This record gives sequence, structure tokens and C-alpha cells, in this order.
Amino acid sequence: MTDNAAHNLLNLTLNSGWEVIEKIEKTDNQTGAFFSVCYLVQKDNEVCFLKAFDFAKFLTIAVPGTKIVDVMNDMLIAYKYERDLSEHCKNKKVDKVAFVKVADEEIVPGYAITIVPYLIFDLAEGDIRKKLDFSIELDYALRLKSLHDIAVGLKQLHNIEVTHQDLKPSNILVYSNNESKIGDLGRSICKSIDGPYNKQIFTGDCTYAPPEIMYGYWEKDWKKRVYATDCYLLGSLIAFYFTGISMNALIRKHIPDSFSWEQWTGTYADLVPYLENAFASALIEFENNISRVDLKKDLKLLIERLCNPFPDKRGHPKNIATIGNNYNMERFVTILDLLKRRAELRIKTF
Amino acid sequence: MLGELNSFQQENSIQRFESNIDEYIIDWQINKTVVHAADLLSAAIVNSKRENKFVIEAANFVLSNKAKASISQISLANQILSKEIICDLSTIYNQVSLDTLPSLIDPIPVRNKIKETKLLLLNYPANPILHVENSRYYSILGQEKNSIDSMKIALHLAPNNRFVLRCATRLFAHYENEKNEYLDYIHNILRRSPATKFDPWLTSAEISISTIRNRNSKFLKTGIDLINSKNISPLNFTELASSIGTVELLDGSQKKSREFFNKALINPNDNSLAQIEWASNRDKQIIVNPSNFNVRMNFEALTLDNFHNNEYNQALDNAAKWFIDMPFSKRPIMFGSNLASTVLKDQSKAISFLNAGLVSHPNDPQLINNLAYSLALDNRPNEAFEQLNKIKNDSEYNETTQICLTATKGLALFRSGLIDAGRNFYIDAIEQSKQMKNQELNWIAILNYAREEVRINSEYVASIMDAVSKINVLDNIVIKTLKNDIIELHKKSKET
Repeated sequence: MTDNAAHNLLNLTLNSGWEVIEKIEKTDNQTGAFFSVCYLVQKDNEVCFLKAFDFAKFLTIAVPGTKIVDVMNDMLIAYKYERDLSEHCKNKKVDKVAFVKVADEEIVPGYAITIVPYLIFDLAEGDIRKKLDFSIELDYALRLKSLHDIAVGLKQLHNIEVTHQDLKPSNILVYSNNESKIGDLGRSICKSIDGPYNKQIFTGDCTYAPPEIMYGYWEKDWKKRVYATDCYLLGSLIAFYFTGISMNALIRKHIPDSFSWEQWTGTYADLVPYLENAFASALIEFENNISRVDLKKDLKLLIERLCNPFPDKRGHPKNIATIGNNYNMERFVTILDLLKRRAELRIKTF
Repeated sequence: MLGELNSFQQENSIQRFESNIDEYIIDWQINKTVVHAADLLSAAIVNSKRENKFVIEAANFVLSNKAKASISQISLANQILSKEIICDLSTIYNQVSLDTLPSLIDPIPVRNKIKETKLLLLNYPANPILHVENSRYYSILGQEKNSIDSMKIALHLAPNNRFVLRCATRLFAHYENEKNEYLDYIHNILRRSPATKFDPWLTSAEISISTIRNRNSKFLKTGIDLINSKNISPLNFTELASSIGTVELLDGSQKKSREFFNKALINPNDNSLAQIEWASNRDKQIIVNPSNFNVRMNFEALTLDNFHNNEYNQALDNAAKWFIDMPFSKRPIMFGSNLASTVLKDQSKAISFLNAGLVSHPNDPQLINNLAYSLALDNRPNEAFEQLNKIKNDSEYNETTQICLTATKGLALFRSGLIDAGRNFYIDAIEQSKQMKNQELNWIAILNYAREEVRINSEYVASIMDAVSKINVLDNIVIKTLKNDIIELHKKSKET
């Protein structure tokens, strides 16, 4: 594994002026990045995070029978996509998403593949899982601030026609100023940039995929499908912040095995009453995890709207009449802002 | 019923996304925290990887750090380790016995369930499953009107849903009597539903209802075609095959019926197995042993099989499980109490069954009669009268029940020492059953009366024993047992 260039950047000073100071074996925000190697880099007293693309790993995980040039091409597209997308976001005042600071490549002689393309990001303290603590009374203000940041980030992405598609706890980065940002745009879909996954039905982590995807029934309308997915993923994130498990896990807990996504082979329409039933029970369980009476109802309603297992019913109902897009994030940002302030006020009154 | 919730056809041709949980395992190995453990558990339950050793380790970690975990994290860990039984109810059923029956029929938890379901209905008034659940809870409490009303709402909301239609069929068949038209109502819905033509579970329900109504089903040929289509798995057509087998058996086509029963036995469920067990008593060439099939909760079939094999105590225990599986049903209660009272002569067991049955059928004259009968036989005539007095004057019951009540009053009077009054009631019951031309009932009344006369060694013993000697039924275990008991009692009384 270490006989390829991507694994041997330690102690090098890159052409971009960054000095590689530490290799990270496995970090937060690295899920889904099997084909990258991570380092800490330093320049002008600023420490950042570097993700080096590992060509050799790409080749080893390639499906047998696939042409090497195709594999290389896939990797280059992935690299280029993340770089271009970051640039696209940066230019559109998207500030709640962890972008690429530097995108460059390094030539490391002495290896079969000498070119190592890399991306440098701001260094986060870790992903949100390290900040969530269920041992004491939940820190509602911290949680709601983070969720508000994420909702804002998602809204910003949607405004520039980017859908994230892989929103999950390990992709929520928390910085030293307690600000949360959305990480890993690698699985996102951008209308104006041709990405590696644009033609896929679902590009994110299937563990968090919305129920319609889990059951194999998805919306044919591309736009509706990808926005409905982001909507569900935000709701699932809220569920995780307060219950410590994903929305899919909550639903799966309450759906009988006969109707689970592993077993069901009937129509999605036949599934409606059972899935609704499981969803109702999941919402009750979610509510039981919330001790703050003043937040309970609103948080449950948020989940109910964001995570409805049926994409047509998902989103804010008022959006349909006023904006024409159920999945618009604006109202959810406002609700989370309100809840965040309510939680903060409670802290100040203590 | 087992298997009835499965989809019987492959509708979605697109394969579901497969996912592995390796990255969650790596995360958990690096970060041994409850949050990372629970993230792994979420991934495991979503991707059916509950058996993975790291998942089990993470679940145990959450449970040993409960103080740092949320309600859902703890519950998920329990579910992963199967400490929360969701689907496999066999453990619960295995704990059911006649001794534990009274504690299992407590109506308070059922009432609480109704409250919970009603709260859910406030948010989801259009969810038919919730209405079906409420209907079932009401039926357990014997609240027929509420139960029927809830089921009708469910039917209006989901007129083609298999689960709703089959639950409704069972409920309406359960409450069917001469005074209502429930069977007619549900039969019309089943016949009109477009799904009945294609769904073997519904076709089977329609054929069964037609059979109960003594009508020819217009779906019989459709059902045969469905079974022969080879598009449907044996578990999905098992009930259909057993329903058609029953129709053929009742029509006298034993050869054809056996063919269908054999098909039903390829992969039977609890219902089809019970049906075939019943049929095996009518056609001795049908040989079935329910224990040979890996079918969960097949208590009805086991009860009948135990009974046919003279394993009466086992039959009683399985009847108790059958009742807990279907607490709204009177059949396991009637079966268990009759068996205990007559064949095993264990009145306390019969009383346990009947008290359990009276929770879901609080004013049922037949159950009250049987309870009074057992109490009187147990020499508790005052308690028997207390029960008989519970039957309201305006209660609706059929002529058979009326005759039974008359005879039971006679029994209670005999055991109270009021011999003449008791004799009059018995003679009335015998006369009424004769007028009704119900020979079995007539014989049962004669035998019960004979026992009481023999017990007191009255002057009428000789003439009544003469009548007893004319009773010659070999295939009715109740009559046979009663007769043998009386002959034995008479013999003993003569010896003393």
C-alpha cells in the first residue's frame, strides 16, 4: 500500500508551498474516500487538511474487466469535479460548505504512478459525532446551531443548483469556532458541471438513502428526485442529532420484516399504509428522546415534513403554493433559526 | 396469518442498492464512543448486517454505557441483540399455558393500546392499519360495534389492501350471526375488489366466505389457474389450495381435494395446516402431522392433531396458545372448555378457559352457560346461578343455547338439592331438543340428566339407564365419554 506516491508525501514541501507534516491513517470525513490518502499540511502557521488522490487504490478497487484508462478517467473526473465544484461554490458566496482551498498536483519521482493530484481544505476539529453527547441533558442550543448552519449550507447549495446527496453525520464538519459546515461534495450533483455521478439514481451512502431509494422505487423526474433526497437527508440528520440513530434506522425498527426494504417486492403503493404506520411510530420514538417540551412539537413537525417516506408529501406544504417547490429549504432554515434562538434564550435565562 | 403479508409477485424489477458497513466498522474501531457505536448499529439494521461481530460488539458497548446513550440508541442495541422481540412471538407463546391464561387476558393493556392508537389516529386519520388495529383491540374486549365500525373505516380507506381485506374477512366471519349481514357485506367487497382476481390470499378468502355461505365461488377456476400458473410461490398459494381442497372435499371429490391439500402442504402456514388437519378427520387418507412442518404459531392445527391423537392435555395447552393468538375467537375457548369439562373432567381448567373467553365475549350466553355448567359440576351451584343470572332477558341466543341453558339450570338445581325442580328443567330440555330434532343435543341432555339421577340413586334410575343404553354414538367423543362415565357411575352405585 505504501509503495505508491500518494502514500509518500510526508515531510515533502509541495509545489504550492504547503509542507506535509503528518499522515492521517483514518480521519473523520473520510468515509466514501477509500481512494484518497489524508495528511495535515502547514503554510504560514496555518494548518490545513490535504486529500491526495490515490491512483493505485483506484486501480485495485476497479471492477474486474474495466479498462485502466477508464479507471484513470473516473478518478480524474472525480478530482476535477470536486475542484470545479468548490470553485463554483466559492464564487457564489457559499460559506457553510467546506471547500477546496487549493487544488494542485505533485510529482513524486520513483513510483510507477508519479502524479499525485491533491486538494487542500480548512482543518476541522472533527465531524459532529465527536460533539454529540447523550450522557447529560442534550445541549439543544449547540445541536440546533449546527443544524441551522447545515440547513443554510444546503440552501446555499440548492440556490446554485447543487444537491449534496450525501448529507450524514460523518460529513458534518465542526470547526473551532463551533461553526458547522457541510463536507465532502464528492457525491453531489451540480446541474451546470458534468460530474462523475450525474447519471446515477442515488450517489450518496445507501445507509442514509431515503426510503423510496431503499425500496427501489424512485422518482423519474431528476430534479424532484435529487431535491427530495436532500430534504430527507437533512431530516435524517436532525433525527440523528437528537436520537443518536438515523431516520432509516428509526423507520426500520418499526416496520415489520415482511415490509422491510430487504424483503418487500410488491408495489410502492401497496406499501403506503405500512410505511406510514412505521413512520408514525418512528416519530413517536423521536419525540420520546426530546426532553424540552417547548421544542418537542416543532422538532417532530420538522422531521415529519422533511422525512416523509413519500416524496410527494415531503417538504414544507406552504412551499407548494408560494414557491412551487416542496423541497425549498428557506422555511426550514427559518424554523431552525427560530428553534436555535429559543434554545439559546433558555440557556441565557439560566 | 403467516406469510399473508408477503408480496406474492416480484413487482419492482430494479435491484435495491447494496451497501456494506465497513467504513462504519472502521470508524467504530477508531472512535470507541456510544455515538460511533450507534452510527454503526444504524448502518447494520438498515443494511441487514445484525449478525456482524463488530455490530454485536457495538450493541453490547451501548448497553454497557447506557448512561451515555439515548433512548433510541439503547432500544436499537436491544433490538440488534434480539432482546426486544419484534417478529418472533414464539417465545411469548411458549410461555402460554392454562395456568398463565388469566394474567394474559388482562383487559387494561388492551385499553391502553386503544388509547395509543387513537392518539396516532389524530395525526394519521387516514391510515387504515391503525383502524384495523383498533378494530382488533375492540374485538378482544368484546366491543362488537366499535370493532366493526373501525374495520369499516379501514375498508373504506383501503378497499383493495390485502391485509385490511383479510382482517375484515376474519372479523366479519367471527361476528356473523342470523341477525346481521356481515358475511354478505364482506363477500360483496371481496367479489368487487380487482385484487381478488390476482392475489391468491384474497382469492382464498373469497372462496372460504363462499363456502361458509354455501355458495359457489366464481373465483374457483381463477384460483385453480393461479395455483397452476407457476408464477406464485407455494407459501403464497397454500391457503388458496387448502380452500379449494375444502370445497372439493365438501363436494365429495376426495381425489381432487387430496391433490389440492398436497399442494397446500408444499409450504403450509398455520391456517392451511389447521384446515388440512380438520380435513384429515373427514378423509382418513389425508395424513398430516403438523409437527413435521416448520410452521410457527400453528396452534389450531396442533390442538386438533393432539385431540385426534387422544393427547388431551397437550391439546388443552395448545388451545390456550391458539386463544392467545386469536383472543377475539370463541372457537379455542369452546374447544378447550368442552375438552376439559367433559373428556378430562377437570372443571377448574374449563372454568379458566371460559373466564378468559368472557373477556372478549362478556355477555355471550353460550360461554356463560358453559361456565355455569362447569361450576355446577364442580358442586358450586350458587356460583352457577350467579352466572346464569347474568344473562339478560333481552339477550339474543339461538334455540340450541336456550335448551342448554334450561338443562344447566336443571343441573344447578340438582346440585342445590332441589331435585324435583331440577328434574323438571331437564325434562323440558330433553323435550325441546326432541322437538327440534337435534339428536346429539337430545342425547347430551339425556346423559347429563341420567348422571344426576344416578348420583342420587333415585327411583327413575332404571328407566333413564334404559334410555342411556339406546344411545350409540361411537364418533362423538363427548357423548361417548359422558355415556361411559354414567355406566361406570351406575355400576359403582349398584355395588355400594
